[in-house]
Amino acid sequence: MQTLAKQMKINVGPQHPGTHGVLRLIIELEGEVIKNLEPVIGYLHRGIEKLAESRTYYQYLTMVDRVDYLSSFFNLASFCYAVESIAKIKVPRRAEYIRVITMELNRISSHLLWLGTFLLDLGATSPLFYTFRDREKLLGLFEELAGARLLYNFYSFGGVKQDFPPNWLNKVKKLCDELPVLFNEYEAIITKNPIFLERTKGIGILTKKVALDYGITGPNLRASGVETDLRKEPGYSVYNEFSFDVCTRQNGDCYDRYLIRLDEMRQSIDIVLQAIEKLPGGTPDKLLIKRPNCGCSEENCKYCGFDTLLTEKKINLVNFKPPKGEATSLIEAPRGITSCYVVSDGTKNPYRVRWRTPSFSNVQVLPELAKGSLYSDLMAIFGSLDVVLPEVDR
Amino acid sequence: MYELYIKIFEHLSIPTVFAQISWPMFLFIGIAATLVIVVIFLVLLERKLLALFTVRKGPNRVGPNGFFQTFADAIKLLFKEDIMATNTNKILFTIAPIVFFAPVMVVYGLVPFSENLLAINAAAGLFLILAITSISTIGIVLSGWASNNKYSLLGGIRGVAQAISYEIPLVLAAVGICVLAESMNLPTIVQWQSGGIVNNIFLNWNIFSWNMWPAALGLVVFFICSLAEINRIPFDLPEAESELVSGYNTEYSGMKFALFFLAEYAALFIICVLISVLFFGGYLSPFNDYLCLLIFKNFITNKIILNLLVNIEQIAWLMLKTYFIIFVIMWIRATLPRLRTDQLMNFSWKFLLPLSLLNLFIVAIYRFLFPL
Amino acid sequence: MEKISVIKYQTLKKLKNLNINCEWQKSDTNETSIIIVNANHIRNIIEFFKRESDVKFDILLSVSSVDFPEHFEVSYHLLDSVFKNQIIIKASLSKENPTIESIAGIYSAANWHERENYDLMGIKFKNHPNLKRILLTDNWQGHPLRKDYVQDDERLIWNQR
Repeated sequence: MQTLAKQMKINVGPQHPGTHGVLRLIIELEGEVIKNLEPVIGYLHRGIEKLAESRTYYQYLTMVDRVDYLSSFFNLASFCYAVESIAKIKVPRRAEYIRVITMELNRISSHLLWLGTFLLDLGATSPLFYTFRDREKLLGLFEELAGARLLYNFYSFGGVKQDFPPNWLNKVKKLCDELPVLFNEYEAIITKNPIFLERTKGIGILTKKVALDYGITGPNLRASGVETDLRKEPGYSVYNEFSFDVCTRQNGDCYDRYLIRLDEMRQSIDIVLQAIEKLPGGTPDKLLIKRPNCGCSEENCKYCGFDTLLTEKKINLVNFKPPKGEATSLIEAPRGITSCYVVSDGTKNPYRVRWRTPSFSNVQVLPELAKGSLYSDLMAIFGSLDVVLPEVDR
Repeated sequence: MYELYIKIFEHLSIPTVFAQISWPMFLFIGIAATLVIVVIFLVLLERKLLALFTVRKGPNRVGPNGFFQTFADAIKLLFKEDIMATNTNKILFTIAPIVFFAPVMVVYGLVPFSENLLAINAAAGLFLILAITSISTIGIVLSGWASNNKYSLLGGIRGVAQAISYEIPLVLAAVGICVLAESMNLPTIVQWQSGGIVNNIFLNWNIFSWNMWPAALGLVVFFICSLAEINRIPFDLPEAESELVSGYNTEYSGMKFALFFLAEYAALFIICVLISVLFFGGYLSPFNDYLCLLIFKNFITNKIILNLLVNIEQIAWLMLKTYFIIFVIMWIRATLPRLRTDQLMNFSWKFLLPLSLLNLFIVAIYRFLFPL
Repeated sequence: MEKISVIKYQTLKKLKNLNINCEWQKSDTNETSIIIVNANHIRNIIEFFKRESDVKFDILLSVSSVDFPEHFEVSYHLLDSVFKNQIIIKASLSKENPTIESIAGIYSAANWHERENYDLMGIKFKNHPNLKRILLTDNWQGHPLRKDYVQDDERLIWNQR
């Protein structure tokens, strides 16, 4: 008989129900205590950065969605803002508003999916179905808007592809009234559940110092007490025109990461409602301008206002050549800062596209958090970090 | 029925000893076979209930309203290839599901489903049941070890640790019942719970003399511990799917997996029967008399038919209580997340064990103040 | 805007005191400042921006690299968590020997980002704790994001019909 080693090496993944995708964790266990942990990534590497080099900007725009399939609008926005700032294209205000509304709704849908899967990791099955039920309503709205449920390909350089369908905004408003009630329901079943508290309070504490050191951004960083929200400051797009709070928590444990996302969803609903209220040109059915896309960019056009345009100017899809230059865009995505660094050499194809994705850092910090904790806690910690694997591997 | 059976033997001039021996066997096989079917529908019930809790429809394709879904699943499982990984310990791997399944089935023979429907009337039935169910744990650790899979091994270890630490409060809670009834014989325990508190028009209902009143703490402890014994959420650590894939039965497929699956639901059913026998008066009606007696007493005079009717009603009462407890357990499954290993142990040793001792104390005082 | 120019003035002064030459570029597209530095000083400069400059850039967003026809360019994107200023520090490396000092000791985040750059672009980071391939398999040949990379891997032949 072989003698039992004191430490056991266990290989979690690449196929494992707890890793939310294709991630491999090499864990050294002593009993149930994690002594060492090494994440192995790259199973979903699709070469998104390399693919950009052989495609035109417009061809690549359809691929951008796939960087993170749960928050497509943010990836699109990230790429569009970068290219727009190279090509010096101004985005009309109406288009910016449409982007903000869709992005914030996307943030809610992404957080809802996270909430369900996080609770599933902890062993509670029902919340998954509740959150999917509500996410379904959002996806239905996106489908009506962009024709797709996950990969929207809805933004284009200089604006968005089309206006809201008739009555769409009313549906959004109705949903925005429903959702806070449903969030209260989640809170009723989850927030004060003693077992949930036991499993999450004080578990996986991410201190401010470690979080900054590892480049953690987004809700995970804000849960550690750092008030970093790019929407508020410096404020890209038209976010400066809305009033909303930057949600922060101090402890940085799994419980705070849960609370902060619930708060963020409420803030997002606020932003969406404000944006609908302020939407330049009004709702589509009450649009004052007869021809919203007359093609000019003057502020006081006879036919249209720059405010109410959807795209700044018609861009030749085949021959779109931004000038030589480079730009970085920083977007506050649901998981943190998504940044797209585009280098253009004046040809049809981007010279280099570099994606900075928040989940990459979130996986990297995992050994720091999980070492010394129990194996069961690993799933709570990993779930609370909200990692989307395609985004890690790109 | 038993008399009838013996009469057949006498009629055929076979020694009645054989009848006395073979009767429990037949009864047991009958009960077990029927209950396996019941258990199969338990799976359907669970899926339907979970669907109800989570705003879904549940299985609705096979048969009317998905009625035969579990049969389809069972048939699929039986026809599946029985995969055994290369380095498994083949003998133990095969034995494990049997060791897990058999004790649960034996318990079916020891529980009184009605006054007469009891295969084996053991003098220390409760003790025997508690002893036999512990064997199931060996099945878990065997399967965990023999699978040669680290998830299974972790699941097996967790299963044993959990079963051992929850057995103690469970047994102590059961001891409280023995103190109340001054017996370990299950029919005696049931009979003791009849009669009400005082002979009054209303207070003589059986419901007031059920063990759940004096042993309320014991009920809580017993219920929680039995959840842990049958590995249900929030104590489903041995097969925590987000951590251990499927725990001790990760490597199993086909019939062996079906056996594990069946045993789990059979255990769920029998533990609920046991809870209703120990705390909710078993097959007793909650009123002072059986309903069928009240209705048919005047115009059915045949003792045998009346007895049969009473037995059927007793089974119905027991099932009603059992399914109520099953419903609660499934409700819990839809509500709660899973505990962690150390929290599970803490909960057992630091909370349930003192509580069960307190229960024993209360029950003893109760028995001292109101002797039998 | 003003904030950045103040930082710029003070930072340049301090850097001059440290005998580090660098070029401050205002990015023509957005308000991000780009600092072009000598690759040999990269560690000192990053250390300076994290610990000693007036605005402490405490978040390393990413380390990225571009394969230009004449040189490789490594850029470090830094963000400060208080005022949310972003700067990009750039260093160019020779084509023959793209080697630069690792900054994994300063920012833990740099560890994986540098591994990724080694993996895809083939830039070697000196003194990196664990410079292995991260996204591709260990036996992969070449560095895909280089412009002269040819996909002649025999495993990809099915792709060239």
